[in-house]
Amino acid sequence: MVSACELPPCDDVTGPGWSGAPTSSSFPDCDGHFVGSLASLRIQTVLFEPRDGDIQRLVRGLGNAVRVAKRHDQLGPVSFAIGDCSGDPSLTPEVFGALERSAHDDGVDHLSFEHFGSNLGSAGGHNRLLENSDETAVLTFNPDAYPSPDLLLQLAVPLVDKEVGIVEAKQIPLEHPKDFDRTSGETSWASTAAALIRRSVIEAIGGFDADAFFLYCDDVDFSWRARLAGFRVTHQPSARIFHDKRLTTEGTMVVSDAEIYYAAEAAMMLAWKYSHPELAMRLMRGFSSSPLALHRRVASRFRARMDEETLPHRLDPDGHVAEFHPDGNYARHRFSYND
Amino acid sequence: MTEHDDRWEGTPLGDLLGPICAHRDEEVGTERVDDAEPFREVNSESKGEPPTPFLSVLMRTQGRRLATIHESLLAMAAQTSQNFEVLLLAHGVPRQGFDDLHELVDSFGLEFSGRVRIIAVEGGGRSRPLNVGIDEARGEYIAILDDDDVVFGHWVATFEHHAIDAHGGVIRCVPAEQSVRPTTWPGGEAGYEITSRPRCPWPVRFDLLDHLYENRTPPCSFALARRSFNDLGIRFDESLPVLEDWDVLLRVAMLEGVLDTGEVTALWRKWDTGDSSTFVHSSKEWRQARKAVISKLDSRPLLLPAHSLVRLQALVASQDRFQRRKKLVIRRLSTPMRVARRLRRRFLSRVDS
Repeated sequence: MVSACELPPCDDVTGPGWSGAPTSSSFPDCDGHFVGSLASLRIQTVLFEPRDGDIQRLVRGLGNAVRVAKRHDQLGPVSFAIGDCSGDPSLTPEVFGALERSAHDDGVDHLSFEHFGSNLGSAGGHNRLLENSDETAVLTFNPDAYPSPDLLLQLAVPLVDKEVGIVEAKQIPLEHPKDFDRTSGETSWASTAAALIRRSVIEAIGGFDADAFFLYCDDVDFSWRARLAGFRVTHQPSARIFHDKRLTTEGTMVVSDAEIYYAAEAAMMLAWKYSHPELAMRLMRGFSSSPLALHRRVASRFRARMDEETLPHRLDPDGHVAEFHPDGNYARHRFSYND
Repeated sequence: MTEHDDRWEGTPLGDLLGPICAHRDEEVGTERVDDAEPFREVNSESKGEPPTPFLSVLMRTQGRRLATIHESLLAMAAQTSQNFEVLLLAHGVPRQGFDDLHELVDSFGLEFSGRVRIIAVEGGGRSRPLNVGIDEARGEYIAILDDDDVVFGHWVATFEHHAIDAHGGVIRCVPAEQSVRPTTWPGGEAGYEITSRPRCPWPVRFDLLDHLYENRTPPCSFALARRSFNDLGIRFDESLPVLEDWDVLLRVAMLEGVLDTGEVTALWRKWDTGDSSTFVHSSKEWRQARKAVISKLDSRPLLLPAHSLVRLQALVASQDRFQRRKKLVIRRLSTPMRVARRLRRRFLSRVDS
């Protein structure tokens, strides 16, 4: 499928503000020309009870990435929307005012803050923020992440290919183990911890499925639906973010109760939605007899939704995009964090 | 040694303290310093200088790995505590590479790049840039982060949190390692790829006796008080081609002690191939460096932490038991031979008689 998003080809980059290729050897180019895909950009992040300093660091980092992209004349107007799922607003008007001035100095044209008043989850929060946007590309960004200065420039490179709908950044210090094609970067799904999405993808598939996915795997589902709509999903290793994950002294990832609960729920939802009901049932039986109370609770909730007939409609009956690996992953992995 | 200390000359205590006292004499003339320098320095802001950061991060680079140095810097920019400075020690980096480093650092924005100093270092081996960095450092503590290692978001905060309790001693976190190898990324940039899950093969707790045998703490996983260098006159040994960090860690740990944080805060990259020190230096160089470190330490009295005697007794007892068992096994195994010899002697004596 050809994306509706119009991207100027490398040899046809014109328009106000275009000043040709940057001189930096550190930044990407395309045969001497930038890809110029970011005619306008929406950056959006969804907060939940952030730690002290998280928002300031986030706005500072993303502001700097905007500054670098604009310095290279690769970026049009930018709006930056912060959605807050916390019980109380995470920003006071004074702090927001200071952030607004700082972001504006970096080239962010409009910074907004919306306290949702309830916890909409990651998918619901992003959908709410998407309601009032029409930019040609959307960058989803996690509040516990920090961008590389050239993040936007690097993420824009694969979008020169009009079939690429979503470009995912590489995470450090703990890289996601998901495999990708070493030449094209093509991968099964993109993490929305930092992903650049064409507007046409959102128009084609209608945002995230917040009914089925509250916190985890909303991005897996979003990517698979984008692929079903004909877009390609790519991983761009030179586009980096720092994602504040931690390790235990055994070398395994530190996981929260929320992650345990919602990852289990998402596993059943994905299996159900992508036409593997037998796998969903097997998972549900496994969680029902798990020693973890969280697992038993999520299995019970899934059973209730099945009885209520509120589970999502089935997609991809022939298995064109969905991958369910025996180790529980949704893509082939290069290594595991929990061996 | 000062006149005051002469009474210890020729004794183990004199041998232990001599180099330290000699360094102090150089620093202050022959005057004895009665007032010990407080651990927490006076904030230099009051003197019109930039505020003293908690941590000085010594980052060695030869400018060959822009992909990984980019990530090391990104990890620093993302720290939850920004109470640090970075000394980017460009060791033998040509003009173009130096410009690339400047451009990379500047791209992070003034708030971060204003705390990064790029310092050209010429000549010498792996230790030279570290010694230059020590001379330039302003932080209370000094840590090493090489240009291919990354740290977790609480690396600086963890060192900072434990500094008071460490009383100027070494602060150590739990290092993790992950295997990587060079590759070319989509788009043609020289990069790397991960080839293993992260592991924590090193001990959570620092044990000096274990470390005297071999290094179990990579350089990115500890911080040393700057006073250890200034007051004790310790420097990285420029005659060592490798293991310079082990040498300094042992010398400081013996004198200042080690505080374990128990937190995994650093990820040491282990290269499967490429131009890391593992491959650039031959196994012979590694063996010789290890021997040199041990010989140097062994030429002076060792200061061991409390409760080491029990460990040493257990080690000697274990060795003793092993020797006794060995003798017993040899005796048992050789019994048939001894019996045969005895029978032969009896037989021969009967034949003779």
